[in-house]
Amino acid sequence: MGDAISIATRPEGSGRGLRSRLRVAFLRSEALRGYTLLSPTLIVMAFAMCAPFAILVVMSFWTQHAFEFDTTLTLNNYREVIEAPFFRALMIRSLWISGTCAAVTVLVSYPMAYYVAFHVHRHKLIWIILMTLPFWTSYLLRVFSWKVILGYNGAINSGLKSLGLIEQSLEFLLYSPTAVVITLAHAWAAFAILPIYVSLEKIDRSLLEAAADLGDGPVARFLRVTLPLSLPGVLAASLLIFIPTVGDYITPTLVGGPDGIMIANIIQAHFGKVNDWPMGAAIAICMMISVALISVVYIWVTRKLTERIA
Amino acid sequence: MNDAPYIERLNRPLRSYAILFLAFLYIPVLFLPLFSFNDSIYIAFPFKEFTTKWYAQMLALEPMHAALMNSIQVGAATAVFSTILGVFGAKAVTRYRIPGRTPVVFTIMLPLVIPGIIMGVALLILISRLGIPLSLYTVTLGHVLICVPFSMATLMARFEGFDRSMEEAAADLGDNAFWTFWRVTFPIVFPGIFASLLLTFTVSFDEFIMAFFLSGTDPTLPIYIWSQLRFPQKLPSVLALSSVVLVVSFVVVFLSQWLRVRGVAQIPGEGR
Amino acid sequence: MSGNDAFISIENLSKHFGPVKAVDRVDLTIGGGEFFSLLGASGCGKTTLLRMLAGFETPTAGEILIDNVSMADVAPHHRPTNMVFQNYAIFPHLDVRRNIAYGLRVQRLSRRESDRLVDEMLELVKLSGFGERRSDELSGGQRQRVALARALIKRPKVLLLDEPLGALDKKLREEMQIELRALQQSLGITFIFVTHDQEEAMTLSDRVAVMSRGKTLQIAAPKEIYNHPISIEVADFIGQMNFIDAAVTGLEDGHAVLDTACLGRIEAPAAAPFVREGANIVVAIRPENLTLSRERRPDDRNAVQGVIKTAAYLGDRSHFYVSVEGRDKPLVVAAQEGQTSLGQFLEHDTPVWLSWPDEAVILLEAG
Repeated sequence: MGDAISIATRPEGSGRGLRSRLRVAFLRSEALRGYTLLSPTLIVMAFAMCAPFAILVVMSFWTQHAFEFDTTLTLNNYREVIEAPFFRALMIRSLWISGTCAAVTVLVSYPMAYYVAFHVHRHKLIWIILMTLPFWTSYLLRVFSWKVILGYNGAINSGLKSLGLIEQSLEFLLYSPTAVVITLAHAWAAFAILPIYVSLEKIDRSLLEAAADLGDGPVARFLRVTLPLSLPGVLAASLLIFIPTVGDYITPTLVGGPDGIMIANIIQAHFGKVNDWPMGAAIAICMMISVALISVVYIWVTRKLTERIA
Repeated sequence: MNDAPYIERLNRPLRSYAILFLAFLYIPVLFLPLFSFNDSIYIAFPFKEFTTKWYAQMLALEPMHAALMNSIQVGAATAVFSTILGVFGAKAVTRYRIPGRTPVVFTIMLPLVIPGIIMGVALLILISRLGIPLSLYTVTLGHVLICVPFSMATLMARFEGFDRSMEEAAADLGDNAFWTFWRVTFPIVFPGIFASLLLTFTVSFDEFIMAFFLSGTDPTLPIYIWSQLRFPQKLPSVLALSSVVLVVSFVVVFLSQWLRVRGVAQIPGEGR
Repeated sequence: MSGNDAFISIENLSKHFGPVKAVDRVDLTIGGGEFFSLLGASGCGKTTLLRMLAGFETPTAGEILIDNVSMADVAPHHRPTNMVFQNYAIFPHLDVRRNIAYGLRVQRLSRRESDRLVDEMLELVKLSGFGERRSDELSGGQRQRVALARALIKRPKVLLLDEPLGALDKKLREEMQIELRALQQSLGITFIFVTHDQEEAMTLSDRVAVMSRGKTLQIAAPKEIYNHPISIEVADFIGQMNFIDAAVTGLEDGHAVLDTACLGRIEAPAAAPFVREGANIVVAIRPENLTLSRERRPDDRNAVQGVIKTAAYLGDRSHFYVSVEGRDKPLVVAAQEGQTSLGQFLEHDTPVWLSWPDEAVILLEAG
């Protein structure tokens, strides 16, 4: 009788052991529930991104003979990348083109973002959509349109010829690093403008009024208040252009010509005609490391600079 | 313009710049449709006769149809999967306090910044080592990878903008997690879901580089276009095709952005 | 009015936002060294008026003259005014010292000189030692002082303050009020102070402009506004007031005889033009000018009977709501603790006599 009572009065769940205890812990822990919900996404990302990276790294230490992989780990590929002047030159050119492109794009986009943030009061949404829309459409087609424009018989040349302004086509337009920079800048402008716009939009207008009140004219206000406060956006935008464009394949192929090829062309070749996957992997990894290093240095330098200004 | 406060008064030079900027942004792309109506296989001025024959020619191309169907299938599958993953991810990150939230979000957003060639190549290696043949399925996998960040970004904004207490009220009134989601969360978040579907479909539809590395014998439309670029005779019909693709994606993306931002303003209790 | 006369002259000033008249033909003069408040509810135009003085809004019509110089084409950064913003507008990317020194740039002072001035300011606003802090490391009250120091370091002729104490809690607000007043008097600068808190305006100001719907209702010293409001709107806005309908039955020699709804027949001096024989006007009496007694006292010239309906005990004083015949709403009577032996009055439905002195009667035009 006593046992029956004691069983009946035992708190719920304690008699059922591990499973229910786990369940209680699960319901209590917000973190656990959160991660469970997140798990499908994380699993996919792990499979589609992390695992491939891992194996990319591993493969860069292998060697390929025809269609066989020699899986003994070796640094040969990396040695070749670092020693051969060809790779280094190409790497530098790619970094240079991307850097220039990032600088040009940010410079050109900033006034636009500034205008929409500060001087557009009606239909702001439409302006925002219009200035970012191109980025969501086919990258391939946008680059292709530049090929059309810059070509030997393309829009610019034929247009100028038919107007009688030139007789010979301007050859430097297409198939040059310049063409690559122009095309990249145009293609990425719509992407870069968003972080700049967001950081400008967030600036409290009363700060500018205070600056005016304290004696600063428009230029001084811009240099002393607007620009410093928008630097995080500018920084984000420049990185958002620099990092992806270093590895761009489409643009150099369509408009770069032999003088304008970038590192991505070489990587693609190694996975295609050259058929040396481990080498391709090694080049790819070197490219990523260079980009990462430069980005870190860039962030560090700008942080130091902004501390000095402020 | 007397109405605007001093700080935001009209700035004429800047306005001219803005209009020029937009023109410069859009005009190059408009050359494609422009020359697609030109009766000549050379893309050059002066303009010859106006014609729609290239469109007719394009519509008749069998391989083009096949590539188009492939792209649509891949796009639809990508849209659905990446949106589902985006919904789970966005809900988890905005509604639960999880440790390591920032690194997790950062990792999920990484595909946005990593050059496509790297991801394409890496995925190619993994897939080939696993012995899986290249096909539209592998292309879909690659596309889902790059579309999940877009989907999450769209949906995070949506989830963050809507007041938790509505879900709490639903629970208080008797709905369990499933019903709360179905009757409260889903309807409110729906415009964001729709926007995400549209956006990811478009991104996948237009995507070239990963498809290039991950496709087998069935090309997607961008790959088809790429292959046609070396034949000058085919150029005008490629222009026609490109123009159609451009117009459609412009409209679709415009819609999705419009929905995304407009819906947020309508959420009760949300400003801006 | 203290100091020079007409240091700031606002003439027929209007500001329209589309169809909305935020400021409607305001005429105003403010003297040098005066603490002048713009008082009104939200949307009355006081902040718009202040911003026009600072130069952040352009007037639709009218003129602003500061020290006899028209401000019509003078941009904000060239005006002799400085502003303390409602949200303080402290620059987040600069520390306190650099915030305060911000406006000194145009003066091209040496490093030593500007440091000296900044130290002076920090001491003036009692923030010495806070120089290296950043905006997010300061409390609301501290940020307010930084905003003040930043504006004052330029030695403006006019300091504009846009509801500077609104975000502070009551105790801090009262402390800051005293400090601000002391500061203004020691510096001798003209302060133009915008607030919706009538107690604040009354406590601090030399003169107050009560505003509503873009217009100024009354411009006078606090005491004048309190005791002689010129309209029902002003009277109602400042403090509590009892309003009683009345008809003018007789008028003679500036003395009117009034037949009121509930106070019986009273007499009052009347010089205003709206007091005409046969006219309907409004009589206003402050609650503290009504006295309660058990019996009608022989000395009381004016008295009427009533019944206490409710009493509210407020610590240092009590409010009694007394219903009288001829009137739906009870009259409010404010009694200081110790003025009446409250014990006798705390029962409901106690019959009482209300009395008041002649001078307490204010005559207002019917609304």
